Amino acid sequence: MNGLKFSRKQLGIPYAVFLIAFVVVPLLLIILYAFTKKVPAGSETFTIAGEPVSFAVSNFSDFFSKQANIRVLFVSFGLAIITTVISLLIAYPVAYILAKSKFNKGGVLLILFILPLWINFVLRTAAMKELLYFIGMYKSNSFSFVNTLIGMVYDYLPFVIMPLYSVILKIDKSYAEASADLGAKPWKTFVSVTLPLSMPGIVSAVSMVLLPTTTSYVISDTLGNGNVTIVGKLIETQFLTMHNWHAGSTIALVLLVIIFISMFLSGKFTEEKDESAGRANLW
Amino acid sequence: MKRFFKLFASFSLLFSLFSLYGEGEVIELKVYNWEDYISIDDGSGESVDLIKKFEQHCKEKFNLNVKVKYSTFGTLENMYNELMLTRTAKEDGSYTYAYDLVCPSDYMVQKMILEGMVEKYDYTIEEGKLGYINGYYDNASKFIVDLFKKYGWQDYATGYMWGTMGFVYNPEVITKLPGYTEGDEKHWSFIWKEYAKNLGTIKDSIRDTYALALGYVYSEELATLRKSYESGSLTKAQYADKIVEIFNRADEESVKKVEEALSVLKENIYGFEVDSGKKDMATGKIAINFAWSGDAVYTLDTADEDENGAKLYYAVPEEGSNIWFDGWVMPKGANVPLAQEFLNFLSQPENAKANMDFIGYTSVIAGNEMFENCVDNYGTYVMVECEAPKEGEAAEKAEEKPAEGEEKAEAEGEEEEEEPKPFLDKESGKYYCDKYVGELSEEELNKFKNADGTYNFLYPDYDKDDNVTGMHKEENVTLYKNDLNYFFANKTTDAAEEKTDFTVITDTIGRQCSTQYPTEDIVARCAIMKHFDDEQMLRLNNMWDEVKVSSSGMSMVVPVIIVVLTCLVFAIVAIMKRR
Repeated sequence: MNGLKFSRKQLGIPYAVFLIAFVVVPLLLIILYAFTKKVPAGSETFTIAGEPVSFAVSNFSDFFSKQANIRVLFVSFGLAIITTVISLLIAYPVAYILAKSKFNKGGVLLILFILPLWINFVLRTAAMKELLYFIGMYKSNSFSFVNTLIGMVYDYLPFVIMPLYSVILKIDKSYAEASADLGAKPWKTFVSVTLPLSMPGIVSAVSMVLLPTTTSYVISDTLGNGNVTIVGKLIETQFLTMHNWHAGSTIALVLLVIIFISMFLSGKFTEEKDESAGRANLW
Repeated sequence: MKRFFKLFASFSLLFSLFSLYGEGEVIELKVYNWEDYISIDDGSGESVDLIKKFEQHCKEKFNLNVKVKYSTFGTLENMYNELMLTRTAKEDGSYTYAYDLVCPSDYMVQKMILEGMVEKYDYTIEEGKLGYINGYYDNASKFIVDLFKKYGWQDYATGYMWGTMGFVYNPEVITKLPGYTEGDEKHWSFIWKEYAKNLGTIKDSIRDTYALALGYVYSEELATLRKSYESGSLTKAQYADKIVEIFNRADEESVKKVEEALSVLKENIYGFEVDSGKKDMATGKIAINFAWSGDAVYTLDTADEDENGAKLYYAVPEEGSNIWFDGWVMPKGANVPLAQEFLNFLSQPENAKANMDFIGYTSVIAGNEMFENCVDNYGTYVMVECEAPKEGEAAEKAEEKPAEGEEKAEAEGEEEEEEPKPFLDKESGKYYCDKYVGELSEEELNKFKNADGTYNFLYPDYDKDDNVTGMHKEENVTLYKNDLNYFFANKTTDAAEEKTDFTVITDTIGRQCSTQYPTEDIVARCAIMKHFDDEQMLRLNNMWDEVKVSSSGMSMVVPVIIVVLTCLVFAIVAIMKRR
């Protein structure tokens, strides 16, 4: 089997093919659909899958000129931001305690927190609904938003705990000790040493939660009884009910751009904050 | 490497040979249907696997090796997308589709016909040959066939299941609410009522909820129409046309009115759903559910089977409602004779019965056999005194198992299936048989009759295998006649049916019987949903978005966004300053 030696480049081919086929090409298709529009046969520039289309930016103006769409964006991002903030507030202490705990030998405690992730998502959401019903959260439909929020936090909490835990675990103890030796009080040590050092974990947690929460409409449909509409639902309607792939792709693209901007800003934020060595890397 | 390739090549050759000559010529029939919409073997031993049975039928009758490739969809829109994605273009610019048979609903059937996606039925095939489609017309209800003819779909579609839309409700909860007046549930305004706050659900589907709101918005116009129909100034056909027109309005004014009505309704309901309503209703989370009649039967059954379940009812609003059906169409490029044979097979009463028992929806197949099934399921059976089993038999039995009524009934049941099994009441020492009230003579019935026209009956208790295990008394029972002649009697070709009267007599109204088979009076006020064009659909969708995204959530969200944005600005300013 001496002939079966591959160079690093050759080993990379399957991955490159995978990325092109399942990431780059679909993304290009989304862009293509977003910037084209269905036109009556005869006046088309070209055809996609037998459908006469021509280039247009009217998809975007159509989207932004509709008040309901702007409201959906606000609701979705509001929901996503609140979810992310609450998740961080809950997850940070958990991750911190887990990382420092003597009882967490072999990560058993961590696994207990991650465990819900391995149970089917739909089942978890349905169970959450029964639980919320039991404690009386469905007495009025004005609780729909809160119920959705609880469901989102519950479902995405493991995604926040994991990166935070791995980053905090890797922070060198001697930084905190040095800070204490130099006379800083514990909270001061936390704010100016531990927190900045764990910033990569926070950023990665945010990126894992922010976008999915704007689109996971299964949770808002089940727990919010369909009273809370988020962007994901709009995309679904455009694709499935209206058969308008162009408008659907436009919304997806708008969402992508907003996320890119927020990621770019948060990335910038951490970069500037601390250039020192010894910053714990994620994973 | 070379050797490996050789090996691989020879293997693949072997496999291809297998598929060519291994099983003989196999014809595939690709059927695309709703989820849970055909009888399959669920392991209970009672259901029939219709797909396997059809394959067998083809083998036996036509000596054909047919393999049914059966796949399912969850929404019509998904189905349409799938058809579009898997079609292949022909040289002349037309398309052929990847399925032989598809089962869409009313407005989608119309859309597919309009877009030229479906094949015409071939009526020239003679009886006894493969694909004799008149087998469907021999058995289908004339009512459904006429409906299809009226809209010009009979060349392209045959019916499968049908029903109405209305409210499933829990009278135990509703009637106790302050503000409830009797008969509220028979109007569209029911779910808008203040006392129904957080108790009702509507469909998270544009077309169905739009129809609901139209019924509410135009309830006065509909009520006036109904009055003039009842007074005789409108004929049945005129009335039907008017109703269809109202329930398919999509002009800007109607959409605007619907938007206002739905915005109000949104604040009053528990939520939107498509599937969870059945469960929520049966478990008592909600008390009103806007539902399709098929789902309503399922919900009522589920609640009945549950010991703590409530006695639920179903009502179709008096102003008029929607009548829906699912029909079979053959997309272009289908194997027409084989597809038609499948429909012919499904139209045989025994198979239609198996389907109905399994799915719980109402089949379009009519006739005596289907009617008897309906009576068996929903007719009222009471216990009447009957003759003791013959001397010898009884003595024999008594020796074996003295005074054990149940066992006796069971043992006898095995011997002669058809005869009613006498049940020995230990207290009185008399024998009773369970009998359908419709079979009792006037004289017999009068024995149970009270002065006010109600009845006192002895009801049988059944075990799982439908054996009588006991009986209980109920007083002041009212009997209703559910006249279903319009549906069952007019079998298209079989005019010489022996049976002349198709009326089910039951002791309840508004329960499973009238849900599954609405009376003629209900059907007369139900309209069919028509296909909306792109412009109308866009208008509806815009309205729907406005309704679904109400501004109520905004009050909670806007402050958060403002806080976050200010934080961001501060952070950026801080970064800039550092530089």
